[in-house]
Amino acid sequence: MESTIARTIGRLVLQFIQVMGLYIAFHGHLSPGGGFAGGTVIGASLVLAVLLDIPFRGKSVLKESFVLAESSCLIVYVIIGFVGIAAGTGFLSNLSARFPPGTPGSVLSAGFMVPLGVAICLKVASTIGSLFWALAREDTQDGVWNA
Amino acid sequence: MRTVASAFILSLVAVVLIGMVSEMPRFGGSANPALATTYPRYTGSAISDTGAQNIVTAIVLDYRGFDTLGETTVLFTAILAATLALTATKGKTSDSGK
Repeated sequence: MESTIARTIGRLVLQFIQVMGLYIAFHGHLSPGGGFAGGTVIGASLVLAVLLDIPFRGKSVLKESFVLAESSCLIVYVIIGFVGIAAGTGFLSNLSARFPPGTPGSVLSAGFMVPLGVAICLKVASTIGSLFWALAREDTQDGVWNA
Repeated sequence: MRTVASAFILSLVAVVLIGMVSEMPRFGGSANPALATTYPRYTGSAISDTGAQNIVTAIVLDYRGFDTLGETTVLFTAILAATLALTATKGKTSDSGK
């Protein structure tokens, strides 16, 4: 997009959007939100960065990292689930599989919920990004992000 | 004959169903099991069960963690199908995913 106003404002707002998304994802067990909401915010910020043509590090490998994140986050979820079976309780059991409960109210608490939330967050962000890439692909040359 | 038989069977089913509905607790009543048993069970022991203060996340990621795994799989399958359908190029199959 060629608009100077949109690019300048987008550059300013982008980091705040991403910090907001990470906050929502990391505080899913304390406040409204969680992995799905935070991942949507982060995915939308990446779409904004690409639409406004804002340069950032790792832009050339964004498609590959989306594919990697999408597959590995699902595997991480299942591996966390199998920890419960290894501990002698059911699949995806949290505190009964001796995940540390922490202090209720702090960020690092509630057993596996924070890693699970972050995995879902990356998964959803890469889903949004992949969908945008698939839809915007007609405007790109050789699959390079230059929408 | 067929009409009479089907009307008889349908009225039998209707009697059974109406009887069942009349035995059910009043909709929205405070003594219903959903409100008197299930709700206090989850709101009361979510923190001691899971350590999470947000009860919605406690249910979504802990009590119903397997359901969320299915949800994530649905998302994965959906984006897989969308990517396959949208990025398929006519006559080219080897480099369509690149």
